[in-house]
Amino acid sequence: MSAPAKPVPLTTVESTETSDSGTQTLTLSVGPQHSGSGHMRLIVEVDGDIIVNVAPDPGYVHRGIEKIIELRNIIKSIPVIERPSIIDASNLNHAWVRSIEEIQGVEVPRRGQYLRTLLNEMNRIMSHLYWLSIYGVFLGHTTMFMWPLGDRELFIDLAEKLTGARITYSYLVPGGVRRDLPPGFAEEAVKRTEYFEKRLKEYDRIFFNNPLFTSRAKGIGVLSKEKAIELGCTGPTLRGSGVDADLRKDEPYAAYSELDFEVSTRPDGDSFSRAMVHMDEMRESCKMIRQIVKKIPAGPIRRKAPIVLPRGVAYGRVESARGECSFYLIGEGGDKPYRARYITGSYRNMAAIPAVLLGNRLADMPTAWWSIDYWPVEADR
Amino acid sequence: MTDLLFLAFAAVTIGAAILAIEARDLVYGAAALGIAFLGVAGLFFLLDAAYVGWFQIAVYIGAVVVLILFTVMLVGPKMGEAPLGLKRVSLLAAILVSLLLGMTGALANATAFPGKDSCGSGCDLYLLSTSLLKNYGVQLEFMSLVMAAAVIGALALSKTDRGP
Amino acid sequence: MLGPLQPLIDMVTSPLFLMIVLFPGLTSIAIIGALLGWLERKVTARVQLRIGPLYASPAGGILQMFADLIKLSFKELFVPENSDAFFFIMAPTTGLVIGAALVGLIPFAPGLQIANIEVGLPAFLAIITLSPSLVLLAGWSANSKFPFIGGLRALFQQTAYEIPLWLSALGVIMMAGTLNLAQIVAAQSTGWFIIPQALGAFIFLVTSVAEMERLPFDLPEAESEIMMGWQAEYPGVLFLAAQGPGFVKLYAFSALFTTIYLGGFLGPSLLPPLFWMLSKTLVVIILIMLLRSTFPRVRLDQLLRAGWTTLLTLAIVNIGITYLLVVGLPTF
Repeated sequence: MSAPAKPVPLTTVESTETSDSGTQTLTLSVGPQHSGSGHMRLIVEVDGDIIVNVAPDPGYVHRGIEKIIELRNIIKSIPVIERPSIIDASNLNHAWVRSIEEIQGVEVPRRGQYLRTLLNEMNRIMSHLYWLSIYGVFLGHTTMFMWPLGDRELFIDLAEKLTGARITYSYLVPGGVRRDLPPGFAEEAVKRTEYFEKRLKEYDRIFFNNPLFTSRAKGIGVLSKEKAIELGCTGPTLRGSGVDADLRKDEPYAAYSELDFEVSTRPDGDSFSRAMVHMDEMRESCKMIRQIVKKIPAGPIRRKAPIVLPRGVAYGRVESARGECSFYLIGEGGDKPYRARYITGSYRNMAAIPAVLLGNRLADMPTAWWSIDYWPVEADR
Repeated sequence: MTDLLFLAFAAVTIGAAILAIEARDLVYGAAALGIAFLGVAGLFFLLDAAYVGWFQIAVYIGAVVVLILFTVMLVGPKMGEAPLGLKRVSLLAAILVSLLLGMTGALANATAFPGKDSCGSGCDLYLLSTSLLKNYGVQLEFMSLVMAAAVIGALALSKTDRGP
Repeated sequence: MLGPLQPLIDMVTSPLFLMIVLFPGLTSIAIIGALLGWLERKVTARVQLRIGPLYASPAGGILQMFADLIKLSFKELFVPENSDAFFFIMAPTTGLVIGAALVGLIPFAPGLQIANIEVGLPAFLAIITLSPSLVLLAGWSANSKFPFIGGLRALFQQTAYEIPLWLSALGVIMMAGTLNLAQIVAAQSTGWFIIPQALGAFIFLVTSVAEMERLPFDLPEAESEIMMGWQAEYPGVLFLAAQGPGFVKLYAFSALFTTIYLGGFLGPSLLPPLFWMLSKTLVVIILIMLLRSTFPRVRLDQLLRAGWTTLLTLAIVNIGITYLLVVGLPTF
């Protein structure tokens, strides 16, 4: 486990090698067409059934977002920025507008902050549900594939009411948000989150308390606290290893400082604890949504912000569903940035994939690596 | 009709047995062995010994052939490669098998399955079990040696050095 | 005038011929196999709060599988290069024949049985033992990595679960004192064997689900791990032939479970025996289908450990219990 993974040269992908123990190892190319991978490839070397070497091979969906941003005006960049992770669009959007506002020095009205938080938390639930459904199908649990995707509609419809779009909202703009709460939204949100909390209990009953699931996820893909910090993990992966790190608490932005929520951590660092962190976060997000619609202050939702990026440097970061998402932005006075460096949670967590897979069985591969919640499109950008 | 069936089963058994030894590809050899066992099972059915016939299928095809196939596929030559040179091993095997056959033949005290305990057209399970365990107990134990032989054979095959 | 044709007409109208061709033989097996595919989709959809097949007929998409059959049969029949064409085609087609042979042994009603042989139960289980070697040959012949891994997994799994399967059936044989399936049904006229043989029935159900390679034991096909395993390279009609035995086996195993544990065609004489047989079988089938939507896939080493230790021990305990029930306490 402790030995760092050596990258497998691409030329040896199809050959068999002789490992140190004298036995023959087999190199498998898991992805990008393999149904147990996303738009990426894991080059996996197995000795019998045990994984001895893993090299993630990302880049299949690299779209050069950073370069596109440099060529566009800062408002027109917003839909582009959402693309890498359409299931978690508003959080990425939030990181972008935060960095712009930092350079421009624009204060967002409190109502706008609350609305941003509202959409962020809804997006977090949607993203986690998407993750959960894929996790279910990776484990061969067909019901856990269908239920979360169905319940995701609860929040997609809610977001549609709020923003007018189902997944890519472009709702957060520098200075505030685009639209105010529609009438009747608060009651609808309370109803839907309460129903969803009931559904979460059913998820527990059919999946998380299922002895076959616990026996497959507990103790599999262990990432120790030290290792997780050393590899620079973030988000649920880091919290699943017992590190209490969450930007929403540590560096409260938007309305998080006024909300009452807990950061969920699990000490074991295995697949099961990472999965449970996702579950806990969905519960906390439900609570937060109800608090927001209750406490939301009156006032303007948007302050006029110029479509110019003054000369300056800013670093805007938020806690997205997959961990810290940040922009390093350099403005040069025009309406386009000079440079925008864009890092997402999946990219930071990629280093953990070999760490959780080494020494496990090939059959545990989907269980272990998908618990990292690696979204290839978001990592490639 | 019975004679014709007997001839057919015997021909299948012998032909498949020859193929099992002579096949260039060991996987085909193992499959032919399975067909030879099916032919033997057919002979048992002709003898009105359905019980023995079905167990012939279950044990010899369901276990022995699967074991051999498994070993051949896992460590044998790849598709299209030349087969293994097993001359010395097969000589040893031939000696062992003839010894085993001789001992079983010497121990057998009857050549045909007697009447009601054969479980063909009429079946008395109690009679069948007593005759299997009392009259043919030793032979039954020797039959189980085949399983041991299959396991040892599988191990021997997996230990055989593959050519360069 | 019909003189020369008379023997042919006699043969075609003989009960055995009709049973083989119509029910419970080939035609009904094909139709029931396809309907089970539809039922499985509907049951799973019901659990997962979906609708399932809907448009392929006025009656809730009941013709969906037939539409799929037609679609698959128009696909190109493509045998991969460097594969072993003989076994590649032979293995799945033989699998279908084996599945159909299983159904022929089941008594569906008094006299409605294709082959009423004295050793019906061992014959059924012996035919099942042929399937691992076929799956192994299918996986090997494709000459591809994932199918081969799938074939090996099928072999490990089925050999590990065959022994508990045989031993659990032994309990029934001890209770009934016969190997004939029709007589086993008759022996249950005083009470179904599922009550004294509850443990055996449980083991039989679990092991037969493993034999059928259905979730939670679908390791040889495990889509997210080895991409349909041994079926990965099969095209069109051959894919159908590879998938088909799954449903035929589901039908045959459920019918056997009904026969040996649930009193087969026995039931109140208000309705014909065939009704009782088929409705009990349907209940067992739906139970097995519900397992699919309730459990995730197990891992190979967990599966093998459970098979060789827990289930084997339980099966032997079951035989001990049955001995006490049948013979009573041994006297020394």
